[in-house]
Amino acid sequence: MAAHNQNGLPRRKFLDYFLGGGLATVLAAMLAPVGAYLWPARKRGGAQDVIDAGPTRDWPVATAKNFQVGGHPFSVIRVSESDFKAYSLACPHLGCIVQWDSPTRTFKCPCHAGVFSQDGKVVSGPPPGPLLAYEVMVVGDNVKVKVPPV
Amino acid sequence: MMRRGVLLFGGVLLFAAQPAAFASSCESCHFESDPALVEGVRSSVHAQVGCHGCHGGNPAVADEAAMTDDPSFKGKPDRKDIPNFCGGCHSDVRKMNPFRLPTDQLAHYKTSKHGERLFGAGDDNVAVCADCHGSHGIKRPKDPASSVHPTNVPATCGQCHSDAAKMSKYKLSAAHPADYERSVHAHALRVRKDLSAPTCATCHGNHGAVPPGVRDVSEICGSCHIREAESFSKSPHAAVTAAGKMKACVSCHSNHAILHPTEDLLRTACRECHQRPDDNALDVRDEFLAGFGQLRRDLSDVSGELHKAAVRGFEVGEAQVQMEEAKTALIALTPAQHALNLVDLSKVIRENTDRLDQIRQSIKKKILSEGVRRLMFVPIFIFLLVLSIACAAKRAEVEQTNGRP
Repeated sequence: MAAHNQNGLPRRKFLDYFLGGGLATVLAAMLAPVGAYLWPARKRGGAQDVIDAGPTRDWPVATAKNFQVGGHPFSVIRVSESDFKAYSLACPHLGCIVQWDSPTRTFKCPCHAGVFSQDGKVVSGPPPGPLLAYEVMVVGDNVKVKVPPV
Repeated sequence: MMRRGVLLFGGVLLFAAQPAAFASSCESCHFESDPALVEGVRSSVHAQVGCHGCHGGNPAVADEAAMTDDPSFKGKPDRKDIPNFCGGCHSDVRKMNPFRLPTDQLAHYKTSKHGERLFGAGDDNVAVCADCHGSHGIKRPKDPASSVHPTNVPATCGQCHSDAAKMSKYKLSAAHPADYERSVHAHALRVRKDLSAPTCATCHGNHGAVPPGVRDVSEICGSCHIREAESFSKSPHAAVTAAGKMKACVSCHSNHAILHPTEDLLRTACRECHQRPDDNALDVRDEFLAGFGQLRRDLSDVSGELHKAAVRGFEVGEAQVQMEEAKTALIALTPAQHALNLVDLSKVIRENTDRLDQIRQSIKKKILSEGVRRLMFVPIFIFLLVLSIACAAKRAEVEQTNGRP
């Protein structure tokens, strides 16, 4: 006589279903990373990454938009209709966050009055070197920034 | 054979001791008595000028006739004549323009204490061009071997200004060069290798009494420390300085032995003037110090928590940017404090303390969510356990039925 569980399902059948379902779940969990590995990569990753900063229409000339990658803030500025530039916002003097000043087209450091040109070069003040520049590409209508490894 | 070898060796030595070729009769004669002098000129910025360019004479004529028979010969100038001697070329726009060199050094020199004493009092013990730049082996200022290269300026000025006997005559301290070497400026120059760090000439001028752009040496600090000067100009101290009762920056920071300013400076320097018991300046100072110290500690704590969170794999990019903003505000408070405006300073401190609090809360939230996610492992482990038990039960059943359906 076959044993029954509380709902009247034969114990043997319940055990078979449970084992079948359970093993299928375990197999699926094992195959998932294999599938993810074999599937073609759709986005870049690794040592250097390209960030999509947005469409070019978001930048009137002489304006800036700030971003961050891995806790490092950087700014993308539009120097002219066709020219975009991106710089780390960390001042090379003491690491303060510099701010873009649109009217004068300069980056200004609030700590010790360091001033950088729109080319990232030191105009005045104590910074010992220029702002760290990132590579900017305009692909179609999108601005993309190649950020260094964090 | 051996004799020929010795002769050849001797010839090589003689050749090595001689310059490649003498450019003038001056060199050929003076090389015999002072080879270093000739080599110095040849390696100097004036190599192309030649001896006669400064001293006159006719270098094409051999022997002493090059000097005695030529009316242009000037010989060695007296110390008191050296500024005009060098100025003969260096004040001449036509001569200096091709080299992009200024021509106002002599004019500036005349406004300096050195120049005033030399030309006004006939005191030729003061520094003249050759004392700082050298005479024959003059290098470009950017050449690290130059006596006026930034790294060498303190020692060059120190040749005289460290000499107590010389300085006592002018009632000047001989401690300034040694004081400078203890300063934060010397640290920047020597340790951080920052050639833009101020040396003697940066504040006192190199040829003139003060550098271009300032009326008095007391204004010079603000030409680099712009934010500090801006804030100071808004402070109650600005009026006291204008009234001549305070020496601006120097009153608190000293002038040559300028040490890295710490909170201790505020604790000691303020008391120098604010001594009356009813003076509330010290209360303002204490309140600022309390807020500033709290912000600094909060920043350090949150920085540590953020680092730990990053190591545990949490996404903390935005929080790190926020923390950098708070750090920027803390650094900017140091120059801003010179305005002595407690309301403004407290506002900045409060804003950034709140900002750090938010970062702390966001980290806590992330850690909490990690705990919740870890709890999700419990049902998974229960499922695996039940699956194992089911496998064991199935095996027992198969064994019991011995393969029968």
